[in-house]
Amino acid sequence: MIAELRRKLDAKEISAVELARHYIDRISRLDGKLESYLHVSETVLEDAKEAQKRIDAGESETFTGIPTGLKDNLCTIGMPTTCASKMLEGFASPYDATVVAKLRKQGAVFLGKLNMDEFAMGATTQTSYYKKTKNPFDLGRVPGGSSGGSAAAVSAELCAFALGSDTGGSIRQPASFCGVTGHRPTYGMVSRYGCVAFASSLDQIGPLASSAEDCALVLEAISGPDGFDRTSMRSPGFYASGLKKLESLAGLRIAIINELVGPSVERETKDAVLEAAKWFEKNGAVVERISMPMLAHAVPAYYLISSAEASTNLARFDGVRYGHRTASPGSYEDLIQLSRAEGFGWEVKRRILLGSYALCSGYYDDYYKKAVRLADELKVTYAAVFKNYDAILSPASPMPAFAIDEVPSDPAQLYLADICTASAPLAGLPSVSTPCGMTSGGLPIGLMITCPRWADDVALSLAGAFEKDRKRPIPGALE
Amino acid sequence: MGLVPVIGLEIHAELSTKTKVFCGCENVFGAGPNECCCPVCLGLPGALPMLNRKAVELAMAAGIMLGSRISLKTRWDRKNYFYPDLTKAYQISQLYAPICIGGGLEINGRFIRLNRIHLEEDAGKLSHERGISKMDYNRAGVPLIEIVTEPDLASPEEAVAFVERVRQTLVYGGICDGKMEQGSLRVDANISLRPDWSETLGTRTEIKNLNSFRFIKKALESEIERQGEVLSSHGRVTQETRRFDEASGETFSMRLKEDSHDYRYFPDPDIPEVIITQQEVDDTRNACPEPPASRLVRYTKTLGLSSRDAEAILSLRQAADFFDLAISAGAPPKQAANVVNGELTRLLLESGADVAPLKVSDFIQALELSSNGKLSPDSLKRTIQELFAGKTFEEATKGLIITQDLSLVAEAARQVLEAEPDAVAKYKGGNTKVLSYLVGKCMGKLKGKAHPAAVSEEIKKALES
Repeated sequence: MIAELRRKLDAKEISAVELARHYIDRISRLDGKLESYLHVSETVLEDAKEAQKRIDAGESETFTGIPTGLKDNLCTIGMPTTCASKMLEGFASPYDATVVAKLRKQGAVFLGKLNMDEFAMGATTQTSYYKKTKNPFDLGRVPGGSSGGSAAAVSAELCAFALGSDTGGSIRQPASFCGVTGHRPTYGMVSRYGCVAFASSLDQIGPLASSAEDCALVLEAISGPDGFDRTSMRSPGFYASGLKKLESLAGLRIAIINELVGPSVERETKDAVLEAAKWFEKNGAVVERISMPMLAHAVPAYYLISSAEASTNLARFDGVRYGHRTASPGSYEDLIQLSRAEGFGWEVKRRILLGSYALCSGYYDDYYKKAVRLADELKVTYAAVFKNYDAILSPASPMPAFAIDEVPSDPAQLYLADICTASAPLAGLPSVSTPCGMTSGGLPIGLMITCPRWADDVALSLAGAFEKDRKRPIPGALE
Repeated sequence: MGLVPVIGLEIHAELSTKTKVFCGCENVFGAGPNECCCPVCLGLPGALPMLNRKAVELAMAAGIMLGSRISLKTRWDRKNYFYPDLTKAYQISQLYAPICIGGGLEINGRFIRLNRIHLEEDAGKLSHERGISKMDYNRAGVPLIEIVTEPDLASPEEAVAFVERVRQTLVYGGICDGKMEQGSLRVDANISLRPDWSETLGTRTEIKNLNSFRFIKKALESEIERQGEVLSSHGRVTQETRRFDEASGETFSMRLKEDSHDYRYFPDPDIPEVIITQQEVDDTRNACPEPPASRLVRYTKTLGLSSRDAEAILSLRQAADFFDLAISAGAPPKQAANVVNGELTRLLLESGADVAPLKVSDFIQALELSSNGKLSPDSLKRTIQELFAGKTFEEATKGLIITQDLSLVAEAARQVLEAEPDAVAKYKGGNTKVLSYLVGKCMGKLKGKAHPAAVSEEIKKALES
């Protein structure tokens, strides 16, 4: 889609302003029902005019004039950055996140900030303080999360593509729920500077778009080492310039993990993923079933590590310098305690408590340290698998989008649904979710392709090849 | 039963880097409130630390000069606590893998061991006025080293001497400016008392934030007295943090609500492990000046200076550096020490020069003239001044060198004695003190171009003839 828009803009078949207006119109017409945007930019048309000037001057780049949505945990000059939390209501960042600055430099037109689970903690986009985003395939269902606003907006064509962030599945799971392609890049490929930290060792910014090809274009624009993030790195060897040309899949070795197509996965989801595996086989790849018992530990390890890091990353929200401050505190202790009690929602508080507990002296070795050891073990296990295979196929979620009123009230039950996505971040792996079918009830199913570190091109190319043979699911619940 | 103090110190020294430890903000003292701040040191949402390698180098230099072992792999940990001066509500510090391990210094014959030196970031500054608290985050993110001793110090005097030597060492290395009045060097002291017949340590208290040698001494003295009183009345010392009140000279319990702090340390995921190569350690070692403690030994043991003279030289790094150059070029130690500690130190302090701007060869030549009686003490001073001001040796000594034979001195002596019959009479009456008066008169007559010893000789000769 991005390449097509680029062609049309450069060929003057459409102006950047017309394109921006098209999206703004759709947002104002449809987002009342979808509730994917937390903030729509007031400067869209001006920005589009600026972009048009560059196009007219023959100075367009890939993203000049492309209408873009941004998850609300990415810092932006000129628009609030709230992380969907009361804590940051109206917060105006004085700087752009590196990814935002890179796209802004290319002349991308930012439509606005997209809803998410509060501080990216959740898998439903229902923990947002402001809005509960719906699934564009069924307004009674969740869009997934935490990048649910991004996934829903891309799916409903309320932006040409969006940026999200993935800590334990927050790009891939909502992408699968909303029938779009979502890519979690290799940890270190994209600078995290300006992405409000949830779990620093796991957070990665990545694209949600209508195709793997689009994801590759976005990745090319936003990746690379950054002087503001010591964990960002130069990709060794290949670097994503669009998609790798896969002449055929012959000789590629693909693994399917037994544990992720087992009894805990819904039948229709499992069938769609196994059907997709057959497509790869038919096209020349060798597909084999393997077992990874270590995966059983991925979810607990993920929740301990991510919550531990979150508990200290979110400590800075104390009401002293910015963000929510309680009305009339009697003391400094009051100021922090009340500001935090009022500013954070329940899910965030739960994770802070869990994480603080895991880091307490006396529990550190039993929880945090053990979780880190499990993550290390998981890396070793993956390395062994990738000695024999180029990629791993699995569902992106054990089930399709669930009904809003069926969101489990027991958080542990909800956490277990992260079984498919939580392990790739622990090992720093790149992973793509692409639509691979629909349930009988008309909900999209996502196929997840996970590759070795820095093999983002392989993951995206496999997804791209798969997408070429099928149509993107079109949501019907809005129009 | 006697009670013996057991003291351990944590010395916090701000590193003399141009920029802060995790961002590009300037590391300066005295800027307007919050003028040296950015998203990183303000801990704004989304901001990430970028390590300033210079801070690692300076910490390494501190370790090398204080005899520590340098860790080739060092890591960062978050120390979590809430305080308004701490922008991220955690301090980036080093618990599990500090940059320097061990080390120590000899203080008056006793070796005081270091436990470790680690790097961390400083916090901002709070000020309270009429019920309003103001925050200045210029200092937030300034690189600090924390030098932690073992509980090896046995008295307030020894503690002060130790901090003085550490401060001197850091200043010599260009590691810290040592300006305690600006907060560049602050000390936390841990202290307990134990009975003199027991090795078991008593319960300790910690006195925070002592920012002058006088306060360190006073605070320790008053705390020793307080704990002594508690123990001798069969009470128990409570483990706690205490504040030193500068006005009363006593310590007070801080009674923090969160006294049993659990800092929930864990490795900071934003900063990768720092790898230091042996080559870097060696390069740093070669670039470090000789530490004052080892110069002290050399000055006293090898050169035979008194420890007072040696300490006087060491008290100014530029003076000591010049002294060492002079010694290695063959200057006689005692004579060189006298001039360095006198006129040269005065000139260095007055000018603020970083390096003494005179040629070692000129300096040695002046010393030789002086010891041969060809340059009077006053003329030597003048010569040093002129050399310091950039004059050549010939210009500096012009008209000062005593070239004439002693007949001129004898003649001047004769004239002075003739003009001063009273003094001569006094001398002959047994009052030998008037001799120096006569020498002074004679020196005046010779316009200083004579050696006082020679003048004195001639006058004595004339008086007794």
